[in-house]
Amino acid sequence: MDRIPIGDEPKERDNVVRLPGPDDAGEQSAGDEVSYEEALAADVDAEPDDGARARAPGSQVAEMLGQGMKIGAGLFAAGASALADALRSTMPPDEEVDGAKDPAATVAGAGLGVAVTAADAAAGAAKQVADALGPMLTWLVEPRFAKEAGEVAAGAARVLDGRWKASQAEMVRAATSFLQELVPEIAQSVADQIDLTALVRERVDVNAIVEDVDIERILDRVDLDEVVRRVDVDAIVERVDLNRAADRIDVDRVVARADLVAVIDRLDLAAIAEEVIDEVDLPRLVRESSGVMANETVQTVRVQGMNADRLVSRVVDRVLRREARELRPGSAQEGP
Amino acid sequence: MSKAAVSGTTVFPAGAAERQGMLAGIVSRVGAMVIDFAYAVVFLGAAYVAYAGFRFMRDARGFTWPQPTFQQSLTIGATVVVLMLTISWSTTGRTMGMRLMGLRLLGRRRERIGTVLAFARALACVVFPLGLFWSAVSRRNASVQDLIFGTSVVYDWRMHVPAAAGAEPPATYDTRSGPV
Repeated sequence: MDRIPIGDEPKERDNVVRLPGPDDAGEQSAGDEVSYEEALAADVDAEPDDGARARAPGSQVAEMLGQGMKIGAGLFAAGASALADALRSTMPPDEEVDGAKDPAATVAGAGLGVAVTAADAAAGAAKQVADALGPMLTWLVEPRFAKEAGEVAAGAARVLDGRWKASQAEMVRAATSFLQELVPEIAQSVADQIDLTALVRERVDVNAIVEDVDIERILDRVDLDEVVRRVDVDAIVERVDLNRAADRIDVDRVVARADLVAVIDRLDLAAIAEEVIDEVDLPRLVRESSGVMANETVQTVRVQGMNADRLVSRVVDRVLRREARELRPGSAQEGP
Repeated sequence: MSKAAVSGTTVFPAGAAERQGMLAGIVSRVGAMVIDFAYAVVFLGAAYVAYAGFRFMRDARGFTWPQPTFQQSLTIGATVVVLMLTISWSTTGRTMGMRLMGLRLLGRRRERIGTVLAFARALACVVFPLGLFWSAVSRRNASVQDLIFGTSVVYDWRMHVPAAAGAEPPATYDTRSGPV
């Protein structure tokens, strides 16, 4: 019994309660529906095991009750088991004795056994009320029972624990299936009611979580090449104001950090120079520059001559104790 | 006036532009004369070599270097210089030395002098070269030859050739009066 088809509905509504039986009874329960009389008749010949009880007449309510009890017990068992594990983990290690029966587990198992017995009792309650009132009274007044009462009392815990153990696996399985159906529904309903985003925002210190995240490890697992390949770099570049970005660049600093010597070493300066010389009409340049040089020399000589002329004129005029001579050709003053 | 003397194409160094057209002094003129003299010497040497070559070609076996007398050399040299000065002054107004020093010879009315005047002045210069040194004393930088022929030497770096005698004088120069 892996799954309990709770909530399976027939196409037409009727008064038949559908509950899953053991695997061998699944076909029947899944296929033909059994009326109360048929189920009652089948129960007469059936063995009093779990599977037979499921088909016993008048036991459908009991079966439902029993199943509910089993699920409850399973849930309780799972919780108790987890609780016991948690308790054991908190206990000092020296208190654990290998091979010895854990008294706490035994007591818990006994309690669960009581639950199982109660479940069985409840499951058979309808039948016992209907059919077994007499035998139950007989069973109560039987001298053998009285004799063995002390023994029963002494071994009650062990017996009940044993019964629990026998039924534990099935109950846990039933509870697990029940929870598998129920928990998603509950979780969905809870999630619908709660604004998880707001809750996380309010309750969770995201920064603390992020601080714990090993981003290096995540990056190691990311294929950045693949990511970059999917990026439209052209579109990004079109949106970037490169001029504004360039204005913020400290070119002096960049140049200061650049290994210009290495750059120059990589240049074929000889080839570049030859190319430049080929482009430039060097002979013409030399001719022009020498012409300029000659012209400058001549101009220098001329200016020197002018200055010397003026100097000599002043000296002579001063020696002759006369006014400075008038050298403008238009001046009226003449004579030696 | 001096600014007007500035040619549109010639770029003058500082202080040179405003002195264009002004009367040149003794140093520049002596410099020009020295250059002209050197030029004449080189020319005479070349002429001498050429004449020797001519003689060698005519009589290689009996070739001897020409040995002119001092009188002959002086006469030839003076002739060459007079011709050189006459041609230079009457065509462009300046000799090779004057061109180098940026000078130009002008007539009484600031014009390019004629051949006759140029020849006479050249002759006077060769006969009495020391007359040039009067320009150091003259209040108008005039040499003896300038005083005789009414010419003047001015700074003129431009490549133009002044108008000849009788033509309209250039507007860049003041023509109201000229040197003595």
